Amino acid sequence: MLKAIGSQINVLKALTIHNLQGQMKTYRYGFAWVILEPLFYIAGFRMMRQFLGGSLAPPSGMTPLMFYVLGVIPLFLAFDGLKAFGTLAKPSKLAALPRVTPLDLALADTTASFVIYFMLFWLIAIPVSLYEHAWPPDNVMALMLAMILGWVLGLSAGFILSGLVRVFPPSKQFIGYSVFGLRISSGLFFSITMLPTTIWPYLTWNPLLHVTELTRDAWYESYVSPIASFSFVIKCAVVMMLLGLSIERFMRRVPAA
Amino acid sequence: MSIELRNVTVRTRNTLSPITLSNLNLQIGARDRFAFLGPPKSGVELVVSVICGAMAPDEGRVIRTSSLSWPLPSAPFLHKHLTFVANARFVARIYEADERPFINRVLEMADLQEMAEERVDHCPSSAVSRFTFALGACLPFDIYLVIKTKVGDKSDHEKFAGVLTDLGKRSGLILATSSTKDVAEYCDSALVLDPVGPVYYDDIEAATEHLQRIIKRREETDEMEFPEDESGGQFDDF
Repeated sequence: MLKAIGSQINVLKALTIHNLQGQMKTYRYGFAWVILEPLFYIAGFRMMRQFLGGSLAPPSGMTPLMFYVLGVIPLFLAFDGLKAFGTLAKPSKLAALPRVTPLDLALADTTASFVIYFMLFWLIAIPVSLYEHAWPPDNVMALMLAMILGWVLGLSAGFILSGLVRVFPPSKQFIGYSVFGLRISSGLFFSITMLPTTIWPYLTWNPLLHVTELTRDAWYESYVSPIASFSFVIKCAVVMMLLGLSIERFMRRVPAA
Repeated sequence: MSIELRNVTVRTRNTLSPITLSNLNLQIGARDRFAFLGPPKSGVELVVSVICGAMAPDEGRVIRTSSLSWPLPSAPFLHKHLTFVANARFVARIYEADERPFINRVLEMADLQEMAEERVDHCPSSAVSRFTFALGACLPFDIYLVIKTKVGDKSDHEKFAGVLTDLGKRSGLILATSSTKDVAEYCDSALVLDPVGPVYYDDIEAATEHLQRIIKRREETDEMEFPEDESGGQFDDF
């Protein structure tokens, strides 16, 4: 049993490296875009704040650039995990290898994204926080846990959606719109304390908002999020992962449309 | 140690003329030299996909208690922008083989020592074909799944036929083909994929005769559906 698990981990490792090598194939337009996209978001929000002034200013104690870094990159991690639905819904050439299952492919695909965005986070966060005198983070372990949980949430949502995309491929369009809405409402450019308390109950159901709140809470000693809850995010992640894995297993025999 | 198909039903989708294979029951032992024999578009590729796990059957189960290769000499998973060595390293990682000896064996079998660090897409297709076959042949599978016996250039055919014969002697062999000659050379038993229903044969000669009957029947049907044009293939100009 342990040997089989070890073998499967080796398969995952090999597939993740294979995936990263594949992304480098389109280095100029693909891999570079992975780095540029979050940078555009961060720069865009920073400029918006310049024009709109106080309404987009982060709460006191949080530095402006790092505030956006902590909102943008953890959410990129989560939404890249969501892409697992595409890997599960469409047959891959690697599935011809009897050792490789669609689940391995989805995990390897999203692990490769996790590695990229995790590295990118530190590559951006260290110089930005040094520049803004916000280094070091208050609680590194909590920060990493929040980011990993965000990725797991995205991956689980990807498994759940794979069933829908498999039987009804046009649903990809709706997923795109929903992701946009979810991205906006998950604390990309705001923290919960910037909003009126009357709408908090409607927003705090979203575990991704908890993730961004947790990352900011973990980075800044001066910011204590009034809503962030690890236990809520972990519960959501476990339930969604179990549901996602069940759907993936059930859908294996359902032919793709 | 075998590959077992238990009540397997599978059909193609998104095709103009779907192929359905119903209720396949079969056990292929780890030392068997077995063939899936059928004319083109009879579902041979479908069975190969199901056996190697690329496709789940619509009904029934495929029980694999032996290690099985991917369909050789195909290797659609290669990164063509990488070198032969980098691609061989990927396969070594997947199958937990010692990288250096494995890569050396593959390069030697495929006769690619001088091109080892070349990008795959910069090399002739015969070199790629030798490489992809060697990748699978250098790994210790219980059963090798082969979909093409002609590997590389004409000058390489004899060498790789020898390799295939050796593989068949020390391990099991599953050949998925429409070539009666290959089946007679490498296999002891066969399942003929007749549109009426699959038929198992212990006698390869009888299997090849059955295949020829299917091909003849198909030609007759085609002639009835598309009779030869009396005007010699000339169409009126509207």
